[in-house]
Amino acid sequence: MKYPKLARAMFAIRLSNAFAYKANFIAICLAKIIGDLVGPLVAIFIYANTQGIPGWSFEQFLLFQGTFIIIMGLTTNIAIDIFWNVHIAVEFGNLDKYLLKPYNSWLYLLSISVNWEGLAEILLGTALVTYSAIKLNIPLSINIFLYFILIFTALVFMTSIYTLISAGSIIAVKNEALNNLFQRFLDFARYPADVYGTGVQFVITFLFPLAISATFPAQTLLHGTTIKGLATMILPTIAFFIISLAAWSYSLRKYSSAGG
Amino acid sequence: MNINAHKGMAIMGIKVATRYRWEVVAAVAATPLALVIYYYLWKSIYAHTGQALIRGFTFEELVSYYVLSMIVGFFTWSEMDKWIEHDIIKGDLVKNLIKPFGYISSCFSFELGLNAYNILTQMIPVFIIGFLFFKLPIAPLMVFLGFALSLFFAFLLYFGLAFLLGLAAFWMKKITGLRRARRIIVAFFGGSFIPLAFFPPWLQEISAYLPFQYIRSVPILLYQQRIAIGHSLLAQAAWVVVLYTLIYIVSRKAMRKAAVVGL
Repeated sequence: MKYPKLARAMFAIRLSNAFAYKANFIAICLAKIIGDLVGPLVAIFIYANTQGIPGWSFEQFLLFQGTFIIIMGLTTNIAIDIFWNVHIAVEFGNLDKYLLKPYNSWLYLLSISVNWEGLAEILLGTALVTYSAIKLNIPLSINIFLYFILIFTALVFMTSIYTLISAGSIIAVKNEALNNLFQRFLDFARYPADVYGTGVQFVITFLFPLAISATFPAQTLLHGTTIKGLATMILPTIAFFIISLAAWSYSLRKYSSAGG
Repeated sequence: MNINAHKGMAIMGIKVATRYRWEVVAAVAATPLALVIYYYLWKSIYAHTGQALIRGFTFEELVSYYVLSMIVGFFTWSEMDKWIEHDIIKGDLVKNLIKPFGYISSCFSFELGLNAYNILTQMIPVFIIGFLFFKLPIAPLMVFLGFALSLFFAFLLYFGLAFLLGLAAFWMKKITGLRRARRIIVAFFGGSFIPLAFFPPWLQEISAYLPFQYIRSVPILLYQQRIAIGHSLLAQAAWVVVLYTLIYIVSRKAMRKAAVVGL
């Protein structure tokens, strides 16, 4: 239980820090909401002028967008700052202070990397998903449970990615470019996987399972899935998670403490 | 005006840009990715809609629009508000104020240096990618010259907006939220996510009274020969005058407010 306790304490500290600049705090929340409203607004404009995205009605696409926003919010809350914490610590040669503590280094860094900034996104995403689900008359069924499982899987995938990039930081010292490149890759998840060609679909389903970051949870909530389908969605993420932890351990063995 | 001093600031901008050369490589590598997304998205929408023309755009024209949007984005990019916020928080403002030229002109020369580097490393590669893979048409010489001038005005406007917002740091100290909002609002009302022609009429009317379309949409539409060159350049110039007048007024108040102690 020590890690959740640590995460709670850090969450409270970061929130108090943010409150020190109240106007900035409000502006950050508003910027997050404005940023996340862009996707649904663009969807409204697309559907107002065209037949929309094949296989997705307007409400279904809103549900997709809401799901993506929730996952991004959760990622902001839990995973993103592990990269920044590691990146800064490595640059100044301070990572040792984390490694010397009597904790598992990865879990410790994950615990102290919690961030409140995703809360506004989670609220907005939940509102969008709820609105679309009501409009689409989605019944109470096992699909809702599977939807939450897949959202959790998506969070595991995103955490794995940031762990991998952080491991890269430990080895390469400066690694912002890789993070920026990943942000661009992440844009593939902003639209349903079926709009892309089969090659891209294969990559974002099996090799770099970005489709878990919205397409799979939304599709499962809307249409359900099979055991085989579920395995196809979850197993690549588990593989990715194992690889990221292996990369983390490898990078720590290579850590020089020299800064840069 | 001390040209050598400005040249020095511009060279410093280039040096800062080269410090982040891997960011540039990542940006150039990521450009085709972003275009692939828009390509597939709109390909599926056009096929599903069954129309060759949507809101005045053929599929090829819309893809070209996104290529040009990236080119304009690379050239007009400015993070001046971030630098000003940094100066205020670290207490470094005084170092810039004692330089032998005005604060805004030193910032401008610095950003010009950064952008000169961006032209070489980002804009030109994206132009080439656009011509080779996304059927970006080659504009006639006069249109191209008009586009270049429009780009310069767009840069002046974006830099001015970022500078004006940066001045808010004199009062608020931290302006992270405002900076993020600025990026999104300029991109949205500038037509980076979707052309303004797709906006509902009431929103198009609102955006017509805002300066943001002159930063992104206008240079793009000018290159695509959808709007008149003279009228567009005049409108951009008028906005430049309005914005820099506003900067003059606000910066005088900001300098009186400056305490230069850092945080």
